[in-house]
Amino acid sequence: MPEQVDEELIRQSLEGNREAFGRLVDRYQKTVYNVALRMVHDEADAEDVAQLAFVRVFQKLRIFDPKYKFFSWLYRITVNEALNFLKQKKQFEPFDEESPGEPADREGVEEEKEELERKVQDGLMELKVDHRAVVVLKHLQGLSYAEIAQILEIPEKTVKSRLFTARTVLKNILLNKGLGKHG
Amino acid sequence: MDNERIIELINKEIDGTILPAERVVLEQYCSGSTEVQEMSRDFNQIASMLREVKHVDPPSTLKARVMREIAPEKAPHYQPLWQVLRTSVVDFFQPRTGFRFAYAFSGGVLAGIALFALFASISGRPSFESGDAIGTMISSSARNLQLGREFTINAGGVSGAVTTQHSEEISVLTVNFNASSDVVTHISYDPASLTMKAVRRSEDPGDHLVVRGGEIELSGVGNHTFAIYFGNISNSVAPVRVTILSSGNSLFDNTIALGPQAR
Repeated sequence: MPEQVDEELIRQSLEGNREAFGRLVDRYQKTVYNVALRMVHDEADAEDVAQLAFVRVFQKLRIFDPKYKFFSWLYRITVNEALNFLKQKKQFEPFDEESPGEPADREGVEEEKEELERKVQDGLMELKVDHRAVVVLKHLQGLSYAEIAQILEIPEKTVKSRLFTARTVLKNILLNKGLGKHG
Repeated sequence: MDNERIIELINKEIDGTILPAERVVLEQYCSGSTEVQEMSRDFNQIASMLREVKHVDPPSTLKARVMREIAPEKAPHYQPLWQVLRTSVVDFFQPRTGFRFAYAFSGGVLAGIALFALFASISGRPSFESGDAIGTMISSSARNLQLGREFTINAGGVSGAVTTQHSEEISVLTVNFNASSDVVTHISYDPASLTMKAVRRSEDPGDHLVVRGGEIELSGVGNHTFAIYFGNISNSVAPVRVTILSSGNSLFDNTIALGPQAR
């Protein structure tokens, strides 16, 4: 069903029906944007990356191989665009200026959750991009090891070992940020 | 201790796919080693924290930006000449294609026709300085364009946007608008800082394009998209003045920075 509908929209897009491509954008823009956001952190940059990813998909639609899942291909392009973007932007600077530092008088469960999310995102940005990608795809997008392997074009075993290393490094990063202490 | 097996079990525990018998094995590993116990606890904690990271809605402008970029002349079945040639070269070496010679030949014919059309179009138009444009073929470096700035226009019955993109070698100024009355877009630039390479625009018989040294003017009604490709002469920022007039009223008048250092 969803796969068939994707194929139909792709076929219509190739026939020049822009609205059909627009429906693909509607369907996947939240996913693409969130992958981009967790890879590059900045909202404006994430929008740029997401736009580039969709435009790249549109440009390459003619060569898309339907034996693969469209969303895997879309993920791959999104991750690649994010990696290209980060390469061009050089090294990520620790995102300290927007983190409040000391919690001060934060009250409410919502603020605590937001702070946790902010620190986790900051921690993600301190990972190497290869490790960040597997964490984003596995933990934030809920993809399987096989799907991640296909997206990143690496063996499944490499996905698992990269994820293991990423979790180990992330654990230490988050400990330094005051998260994950054992009670 | 089988580390690979332990990691596999911890992964399954985090993924929620661990079988009861496997959980027993993992618990045995944990009770036999504080290191394994801590690893399992830490990784589960990380997974729990990552679950707190919410999925956010994309900006409402994202789809519009995408759809603007895939204007009708950029439909997937349309390929600019340089891409046709590149595809032909790639296909030539693909054993699965049976048309390598046909592609190469048709690519060569298309290139010849395009060059002839370019020179023919330049020769009869005194307002188009051939020294300003070096053909309509865009080099592959244009693919690594970084997005620059975006200015929206929404006044006087005209809606649209002016956007910039940059790479080390190329700067692109794209103007897109939808107008119910005649709109004149005027662009002036310093030829010492930028070389105009080409203009790509939507096909509209009502368009009137004039290009002369350092000045570009496009007028028309309706839906227009045109992109001007500049070659960056130096690393410094090059200002470009863009004015958009409708019925004599100024709708947009900005000096925009192009060049590899512009953001």
